[in-house]
Amino acid sequence: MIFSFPSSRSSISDELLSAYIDSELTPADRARVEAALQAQPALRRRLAELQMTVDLMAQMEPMPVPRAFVLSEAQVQPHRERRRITLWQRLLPAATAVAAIALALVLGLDFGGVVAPASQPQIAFAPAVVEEAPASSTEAEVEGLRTEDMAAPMAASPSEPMVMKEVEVEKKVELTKEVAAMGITRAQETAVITSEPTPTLAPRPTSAPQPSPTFTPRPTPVPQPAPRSPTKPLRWLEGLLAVLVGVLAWATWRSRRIH
Amino acid sequence: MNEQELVQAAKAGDLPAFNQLVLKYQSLAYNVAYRVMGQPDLAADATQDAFIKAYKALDRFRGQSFKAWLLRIVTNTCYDMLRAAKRRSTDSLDDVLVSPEHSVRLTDPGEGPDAHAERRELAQILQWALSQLPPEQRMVVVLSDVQGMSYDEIAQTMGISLGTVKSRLSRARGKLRVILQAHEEHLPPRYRLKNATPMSS
Repeated sequence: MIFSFPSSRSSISDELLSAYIDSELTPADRARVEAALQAQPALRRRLAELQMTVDLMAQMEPMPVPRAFVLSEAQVQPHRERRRITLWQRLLPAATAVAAIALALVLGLDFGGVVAPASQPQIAFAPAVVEEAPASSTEAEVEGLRTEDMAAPMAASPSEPMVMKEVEVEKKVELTKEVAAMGITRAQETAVITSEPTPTLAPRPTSAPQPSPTFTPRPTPVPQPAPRSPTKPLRWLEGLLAVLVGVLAWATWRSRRIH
Repeated sequence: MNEQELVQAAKAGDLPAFNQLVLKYQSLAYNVAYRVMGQPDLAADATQDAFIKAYKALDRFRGQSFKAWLLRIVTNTCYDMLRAAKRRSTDSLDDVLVSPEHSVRLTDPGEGPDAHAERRELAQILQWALSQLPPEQRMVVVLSDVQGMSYDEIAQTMGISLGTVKSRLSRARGKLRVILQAHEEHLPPRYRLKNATPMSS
């Protein structure tokens, strides 16, 4: 019989004995257990049996590992990939929405705040040209030339000062009139006009004004610089944001399709 | 790299660094799993699962003892598998003694056949006796008496208090004493509890 002396008959419990074997008692408890062991042979017997049990379990030999348990990429990759994609998936719609809102704001700023005032001088300038009614066929040709020539440079270099264009146009008008007086055909006229050197920022002649036989000089429109430069960065921004929204929307669609 | 550096590297996604930790602790993890599960195949599965879980949970490792943290994952994995398996605890000792699953490691060179047979039988009885304990008590005995861990380490590994470790270990040892006494005829004479000599105090 193992339990010859049940622990209830002693003041020392099995728990104290167990901890005593493992040297896990406080000094006070240890002293109490040792005093009881000296006084009680039955307690010494219990301790011996418990110690034998502990010694027996310590006889369990370590088993060799059947194989190495090192992990391969394949064993861990799916989890890491899935977690990264999940985070990516979570961020994509929000990023797309932010980019779309930014694009809308920039578009609103462009069409509503900057472009409209910048286009006014062009619209105001056109009637000034139309007001000049041609007095003859030569003047009709001149008018055609004027409107053509006016439109082209404005489109090409919108930021060029209006005064310089005015000088150019008037110079060409005078040339055209001279050509017409000499009886040259339209094709020849064009050749002559284009062979003329293009004036570069020539100041308007103030002394010795040129006589103008067929039409009165139209009033010089107030030069209003076209403030189109602010739209350039906005256009770039619009383009970039449009591309970004497209890419993000595509990525969102694709990631949801995969998972 | 020392263990802390290996853990930090593994947390950053360095799998070879984590595998160095695996090589360091795989024997301990497998043996704990084997003593708790009682079967080599189940123990190997539990060990492999535990290392995979540990790698995936590295983000939650907060710099305490890596050994205790890893063993806690091992023990939890074993509990889960035991719950799913629900076997072996009702096997009789006679079944166990003829089962090839309960074997000992290869014999030492120079060990005679009798000594090897005795060692093999002792290992089978001890493993069977362990399997008769509830899993929580089994675990604390394995960590304390088989692996030689301190109460502090056991408390940290199992996530329980020192007092619980003491009481759980005491109850487990008491049950083991009763189980082993009931099958003393299978124990080598020198390990029979009735032959235990009282310690001189």
